[in-house]
Amino acid sequence: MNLLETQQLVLKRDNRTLCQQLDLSIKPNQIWGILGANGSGKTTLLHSFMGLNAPTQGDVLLQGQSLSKLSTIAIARTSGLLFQETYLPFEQTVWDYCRAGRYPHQVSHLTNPQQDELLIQEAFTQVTLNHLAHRNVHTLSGGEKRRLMIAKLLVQQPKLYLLDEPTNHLDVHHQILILNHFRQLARKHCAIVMVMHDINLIERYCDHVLLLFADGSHQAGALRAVVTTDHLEKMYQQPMTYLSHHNMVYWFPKIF
Amino acid sequence: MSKLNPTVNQQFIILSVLLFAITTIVLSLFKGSTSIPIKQLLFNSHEFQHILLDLRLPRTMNAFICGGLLAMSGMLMQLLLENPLADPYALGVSGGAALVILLLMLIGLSPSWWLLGAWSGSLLTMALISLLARRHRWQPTSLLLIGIALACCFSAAITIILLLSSASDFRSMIFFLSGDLTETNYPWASGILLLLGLYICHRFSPGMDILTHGQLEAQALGLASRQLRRILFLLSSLFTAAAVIQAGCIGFIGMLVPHIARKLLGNHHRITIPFAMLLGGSLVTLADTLARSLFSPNELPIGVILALIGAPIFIALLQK
Repeated sequence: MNLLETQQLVLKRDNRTLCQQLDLSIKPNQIWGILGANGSGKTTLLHSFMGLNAPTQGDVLLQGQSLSKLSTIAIARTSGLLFQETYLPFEQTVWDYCRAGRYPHQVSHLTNPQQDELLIQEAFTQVTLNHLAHRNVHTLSGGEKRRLMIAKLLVQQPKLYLLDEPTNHLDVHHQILILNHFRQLARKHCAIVMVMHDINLIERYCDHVLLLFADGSHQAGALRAVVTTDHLEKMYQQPMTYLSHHNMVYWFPKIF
Repeated sequence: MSKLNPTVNQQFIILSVLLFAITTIVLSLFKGSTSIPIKQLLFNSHEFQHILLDLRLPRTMNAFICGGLLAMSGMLMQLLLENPLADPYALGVSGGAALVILLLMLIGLSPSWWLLGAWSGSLLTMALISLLARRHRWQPTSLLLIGIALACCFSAAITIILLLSSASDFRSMIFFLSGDLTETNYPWASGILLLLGLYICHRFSPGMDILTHGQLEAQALGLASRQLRRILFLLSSLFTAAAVIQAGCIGFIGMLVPHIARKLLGNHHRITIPFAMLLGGSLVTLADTLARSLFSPNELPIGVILALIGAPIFIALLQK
């Protein structure tokens, strides 16, 4: 069964078509990458997968049910969203901030405090934040805040992980640590959808890719079929080239 | 390392504010232009009993309830605007309520209309702030700036009303605006509102904790944030309106107290809201006692005392 499915999805913002007639099927164990130029609608699309944006036309189905018919709590128990920006309007401790990820389960009495505590500690270990549990969130660095947001998403334990630029602010070590962990989750019957700008990380981690073009058209499918020089050049309006080494493809912009 | 129940440190803080509340209430009852000796009271002095039961007790209750309402209103407003600096006074919500009351005073309507008028004024102000900030997608900074601009407009309108009013109205209006607690009726209605408000806030406290992550993130975590925000919108404007009727426009409490509450107890609204209510109530009660006693028998407006004490404390807090 598809975890997430879009049916003839159309998204328009400010009289601009971001996405036209998109039919997508995301299954467990898959890792999808979404690529597109700035302002092409990647974040808007990801938010519509979470029910935060209503589609202009078409429908988004989560485990076969239309998002419009599901409660916010039912959506949050199945899918979780990592926002692009770190937004921390109020001071609180790292621990308290992370605990909010358990809300969809707490409110439905599907968990207990001991279980929540174990999950939070586990998530802190995954993102190497254990030593900062009692710190005020406003005192964290950009990368630490990003890891904290990822920890909050991990304790939410969704089946579908929607990640908006997960490697933002992270150093190379933490980028690989976090992406490896999401790959592990995909192997445990979850699905990952991540918006990224780094084509080479998409090459390493994703098996499926969705490309969003400036005119609202798209290309979706298996990585090798979709990520081609022609498509990337059309998408970025930038000449591209690649190197092939040990069966791996490395993409570069042509710089004149 | 359980974080779900108040820790020892938090229990100490809650106990301290309870003691502070009791102390300020006792002080307020026995201190003022006439000090009440407990011995005399025990020996059935009618004069002192009259002062205590007919003058001091209703006034103390007025002050405490008003402070509690303002502190809770500030907490809710900060959540709504996702901004820890939001406050019913600074955003013009108190000003909106006061403006309507002054208009009602000017046309000579009886005080029984005031609650409805003040609530309409505060609701309209909050609706206006939201409506004007819509173009900026309700960004907290835009909401705050629009609120401050509206507060300036209301302040100008209030000045015009004051200039147009008769000499007899002028003094009562000035006293009302800078905080007047001389009303000697027992504030049963606002007391019930305070308790009901506390219960509703307690009921929605898990959702309010999640709302500290911002509306969109809260929705992504499964909170029906629009519905909760509507409830908070109605409650915070009602609390402000009731406080304005009770004591006019009192600044600082709505900003200062939630700030202290969050600093000491974090964003656990199950405990921070009752804490803010107790601290807000205690501070206004203390300020009222000082207002009555410092230059006795002359009385200072409570707003003046609170601004004098509140401003340095708030600046000191911001420096930390």
